[in-house]
Amino acid sequence: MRLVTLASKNLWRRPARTVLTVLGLAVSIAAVVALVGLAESLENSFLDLYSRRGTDLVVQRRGGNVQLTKVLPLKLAERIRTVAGVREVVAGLADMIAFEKQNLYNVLINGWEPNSPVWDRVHLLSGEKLREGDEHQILLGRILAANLGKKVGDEITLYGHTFHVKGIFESFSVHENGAVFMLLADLEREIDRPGQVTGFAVHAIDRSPAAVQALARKIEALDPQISAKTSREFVESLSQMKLTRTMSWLMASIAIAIGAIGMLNTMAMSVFERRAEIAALRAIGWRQRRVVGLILREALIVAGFGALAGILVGVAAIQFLAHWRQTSGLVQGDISFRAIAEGLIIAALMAVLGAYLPARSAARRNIVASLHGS
Amino acid sequence: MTDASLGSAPHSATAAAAPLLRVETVSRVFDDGQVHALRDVSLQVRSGEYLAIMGPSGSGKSTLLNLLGALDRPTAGEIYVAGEPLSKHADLDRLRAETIGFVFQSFHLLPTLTALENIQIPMFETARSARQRVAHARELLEQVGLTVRADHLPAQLSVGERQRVAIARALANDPRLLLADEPTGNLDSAAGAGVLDLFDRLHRERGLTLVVITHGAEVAARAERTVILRDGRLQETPA
Repeated sequence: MRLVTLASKNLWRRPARTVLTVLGLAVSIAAVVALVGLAESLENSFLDLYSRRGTDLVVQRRGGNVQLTKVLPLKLAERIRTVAGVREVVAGLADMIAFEKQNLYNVLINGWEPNSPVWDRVHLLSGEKLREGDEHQILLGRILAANLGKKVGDEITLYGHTFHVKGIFESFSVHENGAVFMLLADLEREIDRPGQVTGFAVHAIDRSPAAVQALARKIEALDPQISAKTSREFVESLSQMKLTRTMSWLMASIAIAIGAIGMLNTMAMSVFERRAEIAALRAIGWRQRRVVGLILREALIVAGFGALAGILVGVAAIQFLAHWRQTSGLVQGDISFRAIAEGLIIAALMAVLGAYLPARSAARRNIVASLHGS
Repeated sequence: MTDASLGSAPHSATAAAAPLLRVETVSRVFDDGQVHALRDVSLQVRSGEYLAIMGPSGSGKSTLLNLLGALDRPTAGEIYVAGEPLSKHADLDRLRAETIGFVFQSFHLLPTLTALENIQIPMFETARSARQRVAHARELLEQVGLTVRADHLPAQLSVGERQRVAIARALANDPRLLLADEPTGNLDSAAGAGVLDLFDRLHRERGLTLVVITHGAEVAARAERTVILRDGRLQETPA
């Protein structure tokens, strides 16, 4: 027999309590995995959107927290193209709309120039690409088209005007699969921003980090009002990302605290009920640290099952969100190894934190008094 | 009971002559001086001796046993185990694990463990591997006549069998001293006699030093020597 066998058997003396504690921990871990995983997934997928397109720098107006209200003149693109080291500049205007009848909120609309390389970087599933002069025509991302029940040739009302679906595309990015693409001129007109864009995606000739940083400084030197950030800096600076990350950890922290208190309560009850047994172990020579080790093992077994169940529930929750109509255009179905590792580490910490005090208290209790049940 | 040998060889004649336990003017006071459980008790137990401590309830028997077993500390006086004062002993856990075996009136077996597993518990404090622990536990089960009960939980054993498992557990680390607190207190007369027979064999075949707390004269009659405690004082030490 090994110590872990004894720990397992102790847990099964009170199966209902053990299972409930496992469930409590599972909820905490599921919250960590789902919420933190969601925030990380959102950030990673957004970063993917830029890095997989080969975007090295994102140029936007300096200052301000709300990305969509930031604008720069489109003609700035020509000046950026003249900077040494710039290979390509992609101008884009973005907006968010809602299809309330379909319960779809935060749907991204992108306006691209007719000659933008973006058109060639999405895979057309049906219909045709937009060309210069295609007024009031749009392309729909695959997920959005499915959620709206639209196909090529159908009409959609945007900004009070009727648009025709000219094509349906698929992108590697879940954000774009839930988005509307239209010509830049159309979007400028609809949101009353003539000659303006939200920002520029800049592709560098030399993509080494040092060269990209040097290029950023050169672009910023064009105008004191513009900032050029690497894709990662840009994504991390997005206020929505920061808010999502902070809210996720805040909610996960509350779940962790509840789980840890549950663990503390379970282990405190468990060692109190077994105080005479633990005293007998001490009487026959068990050291305090072995008693502590036994109780920590019990807590770690509970935490292990809780973490396993929690990770499964967390992954299932993310999968659900990835397929749920209202969030399918925002959430990818994947979950990072980091989120799972965080769930495991937090479960282990909860076990140790929740069990250590009861374990230490049990090990230090007066042996003679405990043997007689007091 | 089997005829199996009780394991370790008896301690040598030299060892048998030396005092294993020496209690010098020990007092134990509880509740801030309100209760004097023991008053100036002095006692010697030779290595290999079988001693019974008798006395009425509240006389201080269990208090003395707890002090002898290094579970408690005296308020005054000193206890020596194998010549070493307990007050200066660096590692009482180790002393209890290696030198002393305990048998409790209420057994204190772990209810989720089988007889075989319960006997292995003290061996966690030794260098024995898991396989060695199992093998040794089987030997001990055989010695107390419970081989066929190896896989039974305490609840599936009779009270007499439980006490024999507890004795096997007490012997797990081959202690020099076995302390038993009312070992037959919860047993019927037949089971009690079986436990006392086992003690006789342990004393005879292993040369084990036994100190048994008891109310019963029939238990004390098995011992080589009996001391009587009354109101915390050692009143009588028959030869």
